[in-house]
Amino acid sequence: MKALYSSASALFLAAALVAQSGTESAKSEYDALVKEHATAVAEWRAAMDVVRKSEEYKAARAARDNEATRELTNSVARPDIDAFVARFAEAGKRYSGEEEALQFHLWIVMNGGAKQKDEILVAVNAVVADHLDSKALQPPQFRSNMLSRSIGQERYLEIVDLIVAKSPHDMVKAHALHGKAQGMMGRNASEEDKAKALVILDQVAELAKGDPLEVRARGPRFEAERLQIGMLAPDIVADDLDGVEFKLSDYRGKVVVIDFWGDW
Amino acid sequence: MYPHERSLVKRLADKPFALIGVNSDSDKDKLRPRMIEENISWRSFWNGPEGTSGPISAAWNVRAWPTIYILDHKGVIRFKNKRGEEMDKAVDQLLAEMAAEDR
Repeated sequence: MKALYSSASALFLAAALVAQSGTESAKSEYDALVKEHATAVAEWRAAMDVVRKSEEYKAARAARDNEATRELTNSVARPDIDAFVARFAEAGKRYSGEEEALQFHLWIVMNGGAKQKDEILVAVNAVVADHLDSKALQPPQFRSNMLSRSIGQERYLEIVDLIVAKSPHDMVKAHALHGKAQGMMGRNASEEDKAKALVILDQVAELAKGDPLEVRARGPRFEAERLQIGMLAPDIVADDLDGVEFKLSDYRGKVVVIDFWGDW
Repeated sequence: MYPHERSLVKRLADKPFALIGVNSDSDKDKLRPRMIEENISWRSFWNGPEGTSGPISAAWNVRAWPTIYILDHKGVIRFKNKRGEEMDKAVDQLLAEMAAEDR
């Protein structure tokens, strides 16, 4: 009942907004859809939490009864991603050719799953056809392996080349190339591919000068060339948790364990 | 993680040894009470408000937490990602090397 109400009200809202014109209404329509999706995901997570805390679930886990645990988690309906993708696709089509369409296409690229391969390909093709010069063309997921899995490695690499050739924005090119390089450095990558990836990352660092992406792009070469066993550790100069600056080299003369940790 | 590190720090309190953290929590206010609760006494660099995307872990290409580097007293990287008993052994070996050099 609740779900019906919320989607009905969102539909009403969307319809009302379409009546307005231009960027403003597209933005509100997009925001409303995103919010509705986020709410659905949050409700699903909360319901899953309840299941995971139930005695029934704990018992099934303890008994290593995979079928029973799966049945329990499947009893909670997932947000209908198909329906959301369809609505974003409809809006993308409606604004087709206009700048406003891009955000809808990108949402599908970022949130679509294996079952929405076709819709993702349509969205990607629309991005390539109409938005190659957009500055907004750089959400992280547009450069991920996930995309190459959903639209195929070949098409993915074609698109990266297209973006690098056509985009007037260095950061857009940098993100596209970063994604390509990351895809070449996977666990089973050959030494040759890894070496090629490092060269691409040098390019990314140049394109992204001054952006946090520059530091990230330099990371793999830094690790390969400065952080191997037998090498003098590079210094770290930064604040401690109380805001007092100190250096790793302050501890020269002691055996040191460096622990990248977090409380989660 | 914490219990092992706590006992390592305690056991080597009077040795030339330091455990240096690079903390990657984005929210220091949430972390502070946890550090008291877990009795985390060692000094940590803060990786900044971007958490695991912060500048230190990015520069060092850290993609998994925890990531461990063990340095000898000269600052040379000698071991990576040794945990638990293996970490103890590695540190003890480096302390022994250091003592042998001093002799």
